[in-house]
Amino acid sequence: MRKEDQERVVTELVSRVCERHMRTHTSSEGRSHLQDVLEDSLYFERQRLELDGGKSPAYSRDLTFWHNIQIKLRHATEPKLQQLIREVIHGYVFEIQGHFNPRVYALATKALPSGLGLLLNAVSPLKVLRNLPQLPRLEDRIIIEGQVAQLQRLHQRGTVVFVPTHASNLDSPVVGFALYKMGLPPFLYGAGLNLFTNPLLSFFMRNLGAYTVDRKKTDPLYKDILKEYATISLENKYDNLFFPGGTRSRSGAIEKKLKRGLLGCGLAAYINNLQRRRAKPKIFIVPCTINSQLVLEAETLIDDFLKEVGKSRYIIDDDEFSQPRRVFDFAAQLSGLDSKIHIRVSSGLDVFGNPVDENGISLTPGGHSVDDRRYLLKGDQITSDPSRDHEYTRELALSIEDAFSRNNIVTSTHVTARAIFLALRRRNPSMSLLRLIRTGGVDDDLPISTVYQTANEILEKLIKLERTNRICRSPSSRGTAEAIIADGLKLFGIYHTRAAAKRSGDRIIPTDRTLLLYYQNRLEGYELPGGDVLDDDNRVLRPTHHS
Amino acid sequence: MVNTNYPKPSLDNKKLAIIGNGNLTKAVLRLVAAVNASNGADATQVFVYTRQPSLGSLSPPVGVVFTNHLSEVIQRARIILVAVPATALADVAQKLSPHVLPDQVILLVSRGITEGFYLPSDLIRAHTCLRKIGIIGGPLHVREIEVGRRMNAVIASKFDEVIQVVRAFTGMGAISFQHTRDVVGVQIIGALANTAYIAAGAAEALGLGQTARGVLIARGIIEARIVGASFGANPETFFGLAGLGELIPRSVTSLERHIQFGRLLGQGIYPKEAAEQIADHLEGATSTKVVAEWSKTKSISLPLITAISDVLDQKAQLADQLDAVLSKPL
Repeated sequence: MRKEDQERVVTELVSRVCERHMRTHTSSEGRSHLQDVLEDSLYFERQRLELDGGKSPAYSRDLTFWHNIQIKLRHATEPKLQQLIREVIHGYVFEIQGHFNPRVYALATKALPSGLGLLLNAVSPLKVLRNLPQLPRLEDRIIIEGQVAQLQRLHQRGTVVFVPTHASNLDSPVVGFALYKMGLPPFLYGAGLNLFTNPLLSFFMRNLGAYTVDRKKTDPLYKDILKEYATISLENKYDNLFFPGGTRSRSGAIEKKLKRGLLGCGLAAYINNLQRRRAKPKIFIVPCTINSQLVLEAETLIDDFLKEVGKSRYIIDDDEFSQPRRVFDFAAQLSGLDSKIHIRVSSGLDVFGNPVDENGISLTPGGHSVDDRRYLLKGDQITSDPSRDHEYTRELALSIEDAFSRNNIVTSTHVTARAIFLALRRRNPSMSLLRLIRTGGVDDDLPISTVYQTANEILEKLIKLERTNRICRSPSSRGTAEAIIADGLKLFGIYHTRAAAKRSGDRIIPTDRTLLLYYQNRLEGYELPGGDVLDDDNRVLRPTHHS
Repeated sequence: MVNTNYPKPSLDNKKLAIIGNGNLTKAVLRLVAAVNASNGADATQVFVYTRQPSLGSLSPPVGVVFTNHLSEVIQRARIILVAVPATALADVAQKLSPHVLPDQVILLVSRGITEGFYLPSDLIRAHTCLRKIGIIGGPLHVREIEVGRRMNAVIASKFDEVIQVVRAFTGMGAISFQHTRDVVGVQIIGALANTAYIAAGAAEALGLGQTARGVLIARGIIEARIVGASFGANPETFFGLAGLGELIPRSVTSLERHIQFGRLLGQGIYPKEAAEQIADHLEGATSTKVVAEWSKTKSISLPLITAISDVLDQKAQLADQLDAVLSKPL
């Protein structure tokens, strides 16, 4: 955020959140509402600090801060409470506020292509230095396709919220680069605190408009502030980047059940813009898929998915990303191959989930124009209504999920994993999936001809789906089943500690079934042969009991 | 430039648009006439879309306009009531699309799940800009409205405004609406109740007895609940007014067309011929097949729905199928 806007936004933010809480004077038992809010904050923050146990760098600062609040909270009068809540809000806002500096941004975007190239292409830091002039260009690695021209126009016509799928921590710098290549300014976005611990990424994050989100903070007041921050930034014409899945996909599947809290900010900002009669009031939601053949953190993510150890599973502090060595290995391996990342931009939506045309006018599914302000009318006034707006945001989430599914790009690794997994399931029809994954079934390997056969069945359906715009295929998933499987197996063999599967003569050995599950899951929800293995909540399906 | 003009024109709170000219429309018109008689100047205007607006020598009731101009029917109407069979709904939604406005409320009475697992509300959502959708479910017996009995029905909507608007319309009328937000649940039980009716009719014709009928109805509700669970429906909906509350009275009345269809199947008549004899829309047959197909891709076991679907597809004998279903524990 620009320096001249920063102070204004903070002042507006603090006053909005304060006002909202001060409007509610007393809670049900006649106690002060502010007292309740502050006590909640104190409770959630103390709980977080207890769990943290001194690991985070801000531990002692936070401990002192909340200790002081606790002391001041005793016997505090209403004016004192108002002062305290301002103090708490200020504390949170200060931490969230990114330290975006336009001069550094100019530098970072210039440095970015080679910097990211380093991440994606480097064989080793030494070799990079030696071959600097010949450094493979990032342009060759990241392919941007889809409705790029529309996105550029929408950016002119209003404010854009870019909502990509999320599989890897590499996604945010990759999207940052893609936006830069599309000639768009940096987008604001909330990045998890853990990402700032990777020195390479941290540099780009800080300077590409990232603000900080601490996902361990469960205080409702904190979440409220995060949403208001995004809302105000949108009202101030800052394009935003949200990962609506909330976190990297653990299962490997395209995200369903999106987080609506942050998505709702677009509608809130639109209503505020209309009520204040601002120019260019519209907020456009532009979904996008990020598609790569291999995912750096696949092993950790799928393990975490299968463990399902309660809520803690949403925060992984020590995945492959925290080990620079692994990042470099990954990049090195990828550069040896012709592996690409496809960014596919889908058509823009309004905040109600309707498609928009290139001028940003909302459309019905049949292409008739719609005056979308009418969704917000009560009598002849534009109003906000939490319960109604929640429903509109739910509809928006459904439209985004649909766009994700249609713009999902199938690669050779997905087809290969799906074909092998399906062959395994058919070979072991009565075995539960979890047991199959654990044991590998009755045989150690599968005839390659069986895998070709399942691959052909899958491809046949994929071709039909592609024809009706239900899915996209990358060049790596075109051609014969034999060629696709060969490419998939080659990729599986190069990076993960254990290949997902390998070929031995005319047999296929499904070495790591959890990885196969991860990659095959990207093709869930398309009614492919053999059916799905995940249910609508993305849980592994239990076997059917045909009693 | 700042656009300071708020959207115009505003809707007319006293205008009701009705699409479809079947028994339900007639019943609604009767209700409206009763309300209008007591309201005088504040009367509701009803526009009914029908392909043949001519009533012959009859003049339409006061405040009611029959026309084949869809835009005239829809224009500025606060509420659009769609009373067409589920199988015709996609077509109606497409026709509505250019005329409707985002702040209009649409009420659906269609019951059925169509090809591709579309609920009635999905079809409206897929073809129009409308979001304020209300589903009318429960034991809404047209014949009872006609004789002026007090009715109970369910209105399901995610939007409070829909409930308020409907209540305002029927405030003094003869229908008590129960409100729920479970739009999906009410539609699924509405559609799959018909499967249970087919089974109940068949059991009757096969002479399986009242117990068997009861078991099949109970299984129908349980299976609908299983389907509903996959789509986030509230399990309680299936045992409430829209579920049990509808199935108990209907399954004992012999007039329901799906029960009659089931009876014909039970008498050994082929599905196609039986459908011809009913000579009315059998949404239940489509719903049953769609859900049976869906359950296969999801590996979900639905013995009754699968059995009826197989009978409709002539893949299996009715008596054997019902026997197998009845032998399974509930």
